[in-house]
Amino acid sequence: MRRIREVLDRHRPAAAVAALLLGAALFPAGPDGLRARLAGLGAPLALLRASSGAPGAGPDSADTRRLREEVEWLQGRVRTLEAENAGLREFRSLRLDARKQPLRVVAARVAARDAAWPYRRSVLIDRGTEDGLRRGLPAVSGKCLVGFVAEAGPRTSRIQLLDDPGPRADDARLRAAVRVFRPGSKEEGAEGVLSGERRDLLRVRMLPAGAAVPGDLVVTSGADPLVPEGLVVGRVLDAGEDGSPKLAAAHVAPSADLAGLREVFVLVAPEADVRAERGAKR
Amino acid sequence: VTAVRAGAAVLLALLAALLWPEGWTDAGWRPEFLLLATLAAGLLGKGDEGAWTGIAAGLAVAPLTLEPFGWDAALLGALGLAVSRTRPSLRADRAGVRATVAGTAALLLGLLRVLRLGAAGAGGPVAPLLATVLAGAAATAVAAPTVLFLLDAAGLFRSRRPGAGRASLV
Repeated sequence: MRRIREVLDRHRPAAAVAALLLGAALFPAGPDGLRARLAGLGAPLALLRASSGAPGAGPDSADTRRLREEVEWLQGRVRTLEAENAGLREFRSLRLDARKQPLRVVAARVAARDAAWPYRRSVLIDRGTEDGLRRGLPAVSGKCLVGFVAEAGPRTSRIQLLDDPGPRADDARLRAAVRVFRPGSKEEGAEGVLSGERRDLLRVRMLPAGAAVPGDLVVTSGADPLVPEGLVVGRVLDAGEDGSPKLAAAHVAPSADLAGLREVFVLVAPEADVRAERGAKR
Repeated sequence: VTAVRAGAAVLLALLAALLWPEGWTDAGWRPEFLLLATLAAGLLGKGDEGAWTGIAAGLAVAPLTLEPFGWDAALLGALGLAVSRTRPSLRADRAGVRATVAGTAALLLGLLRVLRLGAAGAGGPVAPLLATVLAGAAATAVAAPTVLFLLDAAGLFRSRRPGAGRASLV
């Protein structure tokens, strides 16, 4: 025992690195959801960028410059509010089946983007479990699906965007189910599995051969009770074989501006209804 | 003292990463500031400061990413440890050496991250992500000499000689 302690004392940094690796493998979200709880602490730091453009952010004594900055700031606010209004109007036009989808909508602001590495695509929002959010809920912008809640802390949550190349959080197989169909056609379309590839590029796999052509619309299939049917995902860019002549895969351009999100709506389905619907499907 | 230095370097790196233009970040053209802070501690500091700074940097960024908790801390900690241990054999006062070490480290870490994503069952092919890794490594190599020069000039990781600073009091 003493020998082990001596070795650990001598190689303390190496032991810390090994412990972190083990922790990352065993608890990807941190022990007891630590990351989701810590996320709220990082949000104010991330908001620095947003606040740096507001009036009064820098030392400025000239009245004209101050006024010009105020006008620019107000113009920016008007543009933001117009975009929000358009999003809300689009959302109102989305027809969700009230019987199947007794949904509550939680509006949330994007506080920060994934700060670590450019290829991870996620955003931190200012709503959490205290607002009824939980892992797996879909987030929309207008009538377009933008991602899913990957981690939920008390006051903040992390949304994994559709174009994130990482694996989806729990129950991914159901949640990623989409339908590809030709606009104007009476055919029901074909079902496939959605995943992110890289920035602003998605991929639908496991489609029947010939089911997708450029221009086809991709919408959610409703296989998961958490995700309403018919949310717009994007449009097919190109299609090809998916490892077998009987299967096809298609690249899809997302309909939502995933890189420019400022506000999202999280669709909260009551947990009891979801459990009942899942039970009925089994 | 090591904790204060590591904390200051990590805070500076986080601020730089958050204030970097978003358009460049989206294209992958962003130096890995946390890696540069780790390298600075490893090359300019003493003992195992590089390892502790790397671990602190990884833990600081963990709440702001979807990577597994502790994964970045382990990677950056291992990098800091390796640099700290090989410091005597590196001619780290040369800008070319600093750029090469930073670029290679960024490339290696990027490849490890992409490999992990692939092993975890990434949705699409991981090959397109390599372009982002290459752009990030190039940006890190370009920025390294300037960032390390500034940190060196600021004396953040410079060891003080025993008794230094007392003369002015006498």
